[in-house]
This record gives sequence, structure tokens and C-alpha cells, in this order.
Amino acid sequence: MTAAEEFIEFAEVTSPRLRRTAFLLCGDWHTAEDLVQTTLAKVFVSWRKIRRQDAAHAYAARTLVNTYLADKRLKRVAEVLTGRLPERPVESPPPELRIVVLEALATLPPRGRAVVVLRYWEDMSVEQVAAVLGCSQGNVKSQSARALDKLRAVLGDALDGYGPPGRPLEARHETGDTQHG
Amino acid sequence: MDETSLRGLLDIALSREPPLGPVARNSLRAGIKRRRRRRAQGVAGSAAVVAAIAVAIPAIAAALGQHAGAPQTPGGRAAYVVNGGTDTVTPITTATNTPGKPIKVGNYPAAIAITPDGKTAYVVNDGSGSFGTVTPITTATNAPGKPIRVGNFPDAIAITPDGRTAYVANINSNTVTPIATATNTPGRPIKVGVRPRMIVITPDGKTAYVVNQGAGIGNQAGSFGTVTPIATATNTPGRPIKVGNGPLVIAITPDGKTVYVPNSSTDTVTPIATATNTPGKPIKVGRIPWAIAITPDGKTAYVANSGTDTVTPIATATNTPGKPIKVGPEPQYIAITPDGKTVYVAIFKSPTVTPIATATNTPGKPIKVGKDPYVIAITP
Repeated sequence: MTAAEEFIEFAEVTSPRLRRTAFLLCGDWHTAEDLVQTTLAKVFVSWRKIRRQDAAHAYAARTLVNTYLADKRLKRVAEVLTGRLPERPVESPPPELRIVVLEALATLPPRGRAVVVLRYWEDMSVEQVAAVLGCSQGNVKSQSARALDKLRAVLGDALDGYGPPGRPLEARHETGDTQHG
Repeated sequence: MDETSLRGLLDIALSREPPLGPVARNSLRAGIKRRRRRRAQGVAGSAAVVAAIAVAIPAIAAALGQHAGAPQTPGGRAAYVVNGGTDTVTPITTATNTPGKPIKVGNYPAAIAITPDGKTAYVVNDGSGSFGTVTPITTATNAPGKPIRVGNFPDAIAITPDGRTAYVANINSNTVTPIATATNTPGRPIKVGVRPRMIVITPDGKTAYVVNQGAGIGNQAGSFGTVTPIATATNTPGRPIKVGNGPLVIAITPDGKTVYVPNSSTDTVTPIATATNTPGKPIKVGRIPWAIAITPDGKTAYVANSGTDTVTPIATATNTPGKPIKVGPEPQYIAITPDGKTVYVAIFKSPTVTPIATATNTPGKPIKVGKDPYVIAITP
């Protein structure tokens, strides 16, 4: 198999998962696909090095997050960040739960959002997230705790009436200490 | 909110996913463009790198041939740079540091080695079908010869000290193809282990050692790698020698007595006594040991740990690891000067080259280089 064929095989296997990660980061499927394409193009440039490792997906996920964060920095000025969900008229039917969740994610700062997606969607450890974001484990824990606090706050009321998505949301506070894990 | 409920919410956010477009093909096209752009930008930078650290010996140059580098002809008259993105090899006249006309080789050139007499450079091309090729280049004229057909996904080459045979490791065929350099014809493929990645040859030329990565991923059970010794007189493989998981590279001491194999998934280095072909006790190093080089006096092996950003010196007399030397992020490659005084470590992510004084094992000030430094060659 040539390098190009090997890369195509990798890209086909990994792009559905990468696109979901990208979607949770940016909240829009078109942008997600663009992000994945840019990410994989970057991965291909260093493919010769990457394919020697068994960590190609991790490398791609890291490239994806960095591409998203770099993109976010450029667009930052154009965006209005708010800490709360937009108000809705009381009479209108409640929006789909997925919309509520996406709006809540959108209230997180880019790095906090990346921490949440990597830890709770990509199932990475604190150590792995720290490696991806190039920051300390302590920083990941504090970002994670802050992001969850915020999600909890934003979603707290909004989730009433939707029922549990698996297990009920509990009040346990994630302090970020490893023993609370 | 606990992890399970958050995971459930994220799953809900992902519902109504539209079908995926042809992302893989599109990104390959975009990636090829990106790579070409970067190679074009990289030319000026790489000349600076060569000027700054190009010090090397043919022996190291030959070792460098394992992975696309810039090995030199004996006497250091010319250096050859493999351009993986454009399917060419650029000759550089070292006296003036001027590049010559690029030489067209096969698809995806990956490695190069030069015969000890300096007359022929052999370029390994990954190829684009079920087999790869080797392009011989006559260094006097820089003219490419007829491609020699080898196995599937060849990625490494080594030439015997007498220059008679070039050995090419075919990763996907699990074979090594011997090429008679007198006629440039391939011999019968030699069966080795799973995914052969690199070859070293003893200084007496009698044995070629091939490191096989193994089939598994990471630390799965049964995913250990092996080393296959090949008797060069008959081109027959010996019994495979078991090493750790994920070995990718191999080095041999100048006296030919010991072969060292870093195991990238087990975070150890396995020494093998060539007299008996038995593995010694694995030597604990840092995480993801990625590259290795041995000093010309054979006393110390330096191992780059890309997971812990350190270099571990190993005393070869006792096979004990020394204190890890902190370097930059993702050390990628190691080369040692002919006088053995300095170890140069290519740091992939910074991107820099860190010199280490072997007398004290202390790192010097990093030297800034072009993007993604991959290999280092040192002139004689």
C-alpha cells in the first residue's frame, strides 16, 4: 500500500468520528466537515512521520482542536459571547433538546469547550487533554470544572421537562481532583 | 452533572447527522497541495540547516539512508536530498552548497543509501501499486537508472560494507529484497518478521539485522516485535529474536558486538549480543523511544524519548541507563559528530536542533531550524 492509499484508508475510517468531534466543537455540520478536511490535509503533510506511530487518530484529534482554536481566534472579534441562552417567548414550543445542548455548549469559551469535548466525547484522560492543548493537567482540571459549572448553570433550568438522557443529572460537583475523577 | 449524563447530552447534540461527503479524497488532494507548498518554502531553510550542522561521516550517512535524509558521497563532495512530495532527489554540491537539477525517481521516494565507493545512490520508492521500486543513481552523472522492482511498501535500505549487496525492507510483504549492485538485479525475497522497518549490517558484513515492528497495536498481547538476523553469504534468515512492542529502529555498536532496539510501546531498549543472537534484559528509558545513535567509541547509546521529551544515555558496557537529558518537544532524530563530542537531536515540534555535550551530557542552546526537522546528516 502506498502512503497515499494508506492515508485514504485512515482518513475514511477516522473522518466520521472526527466530524462528530468537530461538530461538538463548532456546532455546525458544514463547518465541521470543513474543519475535518483541513485537519486531514494537515495530517497528510506529516503522514510519513505519523504513520510510524500507532497514535494517528490522537494526532488527528489534536490537529483538529488546534485548527478549531486557531480559527476561533481569528473569528473571535466577530462573535458576541454571552453567558446565557437567548430568551424565548413563553408560548412557543420548547426547542429540541439537541438545540438546547448546542446552545449551552456555545456559551463556553473555545478552550473550555475543547476540554469538555475531548474529555467527555473523545474519552481522553486529563493527561491526554493536557497534551493536546499544550497546557498543564491542573489547567485542564480547572478549565473542565469551570466549563461543567457553566454547563450545569446554563442547562439547569433548560433541561427541566426533557427527562434524563441516560442517567439523571446529579448535583455532584466536579472539583477537578483526581480522587473525584 | 456527571460524566454519563454529559456524554448522553453530547450524543443527543449529535443526532440528525447529515451524510458525510468525500472528505478523505478531498483532504488527500488538499494535503498534497499543502505539502508541495511547504517543500517549496522549505528549500531555503534546509540549506541553512545543512550549513549549521552538516558535519558527517559516510558511516553515519549510510545509516541515515534508512529514512529519507541527506546522505553524502565519501569525501563529502555531494549530498542527496530525497523530496518525498515531488518524487525527486536533489543533489547538493557540498563545497558550494548549491543544489543541482532534481533527479526524477519513482513514486513516493522514502529512503536512500550510497555505496561505500560513492559511485551509486540507491533510492527506495514506496511506489503506487502493489510493489515498490529502487532507483539506482550514478553519482558521477546524476542520471537515474532503470527502476528495480522490490516488495510492497519498501521503506528502508542498507548496503553491505563491501558494496556488493543492497538490502531493502518491504513493510507490507514481510520480506527483505537483496539487490546485487553489480547488475542491479533483485534476488529472491528473504522472509523476515511482520512489518520490517529498518536494517543494520555488522561492520564485517556477515550479518544483516532487520527489526520487525510486529502486528499488534500498542501493548496488545502478542504484539511484540522481533529482530531477524540474515546471513549475507547465503541470504538466509536466522531464528527471529524477540524484543519489546513497537520497535521501529535499530542501531549497532561500531565493534559489531551489540545491536540495540528501542521498543516504542514498551518504553525500553533491548540489547542483543550478536555473538549469540540472544536478547539481554530490556533497559528502561523514557516514553516512546523513537530514535537511537551510538557514539563512535561505542561507549554510549543515546535514545530520544519522544513521549517524555528527553534523551537517555545508555552505558553500553553495563547496559544501564543514565539520567535523562531534558530536550524540546518530540525529539525525533539523533546524530553524533565523528569526534563523538556532540550529539545533535532534531526536535520535531519546536522546531530546533539541540546539541548535547557528551562529556557532561548537558544540553546546549537549541538551534532554530526549518519546520518539522526530520533527520540530520553530519559531514566527515
